[in-house]
Amino acid sequence: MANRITGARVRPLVFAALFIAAALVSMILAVCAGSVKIPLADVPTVLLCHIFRQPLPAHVDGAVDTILWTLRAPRVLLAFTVGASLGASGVVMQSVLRNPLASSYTIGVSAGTSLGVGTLMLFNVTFPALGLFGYPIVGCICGIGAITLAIFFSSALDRDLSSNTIVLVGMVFSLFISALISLITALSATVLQRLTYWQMGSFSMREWTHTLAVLPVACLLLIALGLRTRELDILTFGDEQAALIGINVRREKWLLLYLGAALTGASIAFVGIISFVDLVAPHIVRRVFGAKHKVVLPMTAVCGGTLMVASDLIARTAIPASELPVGVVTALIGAPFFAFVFFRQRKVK
Amino acid sequence: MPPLVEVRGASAGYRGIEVVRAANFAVAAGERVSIIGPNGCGKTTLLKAICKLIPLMGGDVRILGRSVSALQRRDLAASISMMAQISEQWFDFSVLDTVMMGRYGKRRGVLATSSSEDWRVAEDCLRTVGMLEQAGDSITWLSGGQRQRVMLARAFAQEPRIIVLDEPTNHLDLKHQAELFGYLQEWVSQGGRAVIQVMHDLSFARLYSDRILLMSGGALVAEGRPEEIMSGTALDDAYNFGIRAFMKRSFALWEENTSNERVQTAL
Repeated sequence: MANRITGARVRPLVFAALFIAAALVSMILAVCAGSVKIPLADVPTVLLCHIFRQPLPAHVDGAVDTILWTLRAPRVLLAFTVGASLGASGVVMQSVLRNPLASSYTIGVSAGTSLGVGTLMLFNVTFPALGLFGYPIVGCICGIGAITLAIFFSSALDRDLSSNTIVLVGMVFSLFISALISLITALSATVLQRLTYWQMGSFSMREWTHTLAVLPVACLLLIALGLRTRELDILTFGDEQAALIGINVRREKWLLLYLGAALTGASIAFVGIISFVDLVAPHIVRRVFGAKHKVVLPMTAVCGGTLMVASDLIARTAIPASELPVGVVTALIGAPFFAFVFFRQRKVK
Repeated sequence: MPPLVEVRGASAGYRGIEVVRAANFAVAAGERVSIIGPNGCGKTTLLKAICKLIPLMGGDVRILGRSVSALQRRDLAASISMMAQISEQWFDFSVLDTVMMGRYGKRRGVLATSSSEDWRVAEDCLRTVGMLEQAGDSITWLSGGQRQRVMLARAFAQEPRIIVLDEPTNHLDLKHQAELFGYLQEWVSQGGRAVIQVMHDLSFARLYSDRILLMSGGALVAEGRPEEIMSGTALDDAYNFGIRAFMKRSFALWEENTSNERVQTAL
């Protein structure tokens, strides 16, 4: 048996290295590619000079420095953070609800957050006391509020609170909130374009202030989830079995769902609704690494981040001198890809 | 020696409807107790109440002298485990990972990792049920019988004093049913342990029980040694069917066929 177990451990290490390499390559490509091509050799020079506060060498063009450090680096890092957060949140939703179709998007967390944050944006509400972290924290609160409402309505309909009911109620809830957002958008001509674009998700015009506001909140929430991977494993066997193994099921489910919803809320607070990454990334990772959350959670974060960076790169470069909303790209690629991965998996089983 | 499980006037049910009424019994160390009765008589509800999966509506259940209502889930899991059945598992865990989940209660603190003792116990439990060779396989690929054995190994891995089983022979052929009860018999014989099992197959209940509790309409209507329960009229009354005559006829036929085989072999 020793050989079998050793063999089983080597393969994930190789795939983990490949996933991390793909993430690095996608980020380097994303900072280099665009309307202005940036030489690969300049990337580490510019990044290291800024990080260690050193003067730039003379051979580096000032325009390259501005585009790379001011525009692309924060955007790419934000895209990776948002993708990683959405992917991890998708893992939590699918495992806790034991439903392969569950995600923050399908159960209404994204829509709830977008309604809350969108309304604040509409009235130009700011949070001086919270500084940079205002919108991510409000995003967390809106995400938690949305999942609480979705579960409250589900429990009113189904006292057993089956995961299928939560997903179905979440979908209805999501559609209802989307209609509310559309209503607000239609009534307020001044912010129409801004809100419409925000609903489709975009990393356009995002700067270091946005990235540095989301990154620490997302990291804290990801670490909190990383400490509960054993509970996630056990909950996939159902509530009764989890209780028999010694888990306080009610407390644990709420905690995990709140953490997942807060992660989604914080990550989309500046960029709007982006679908399918939270649905697709967990499926890809489970196909490669199995089901153990100790591996699945961090690898889904890497995979989600990579998918988001790649999608944003396509959104920026697919049409010259124009930019697509990233949510449109993730949906266009994600929907057929999800159908392929999910139905192939079912066919194999 | 105090009993491992004491059920004192316990009532339980769902949504305010009492399914089990005032059940009283105790299970001592070394005992295998079977609960039998017709469908819907409250057997599973009683097991769930013992495991604190549903709240009691009256009375008390005591595990190792402590009331279940006062026990935390983790403490309860250290004393009692239930061999669960996987009806559908979409997540691709390995057999070894599944059994290791039974060690959850032994680890304290969010940063605690699996100890070498945890791995040793999990491997021993898999060896006991003859599944060590499949340790690295995915549970989604196992047959129903293999999954049952994995779930039994996981129940063993909790190192409880009491194991509870709800119709453990579902989906199993006769050979695997006999093997499963063999593993349980060996486990309980190691001392200080007990098994409570809900059974539908009366011949297995007779073979693999030290005591049988007969339920009907939510109440315990008879209790005794297997031969006492199987020969009493309470069995026919509980099932509202001539169970004893049916079993006799079935075994007579079996005996007759076996005799014919013997005759033919002899010829």
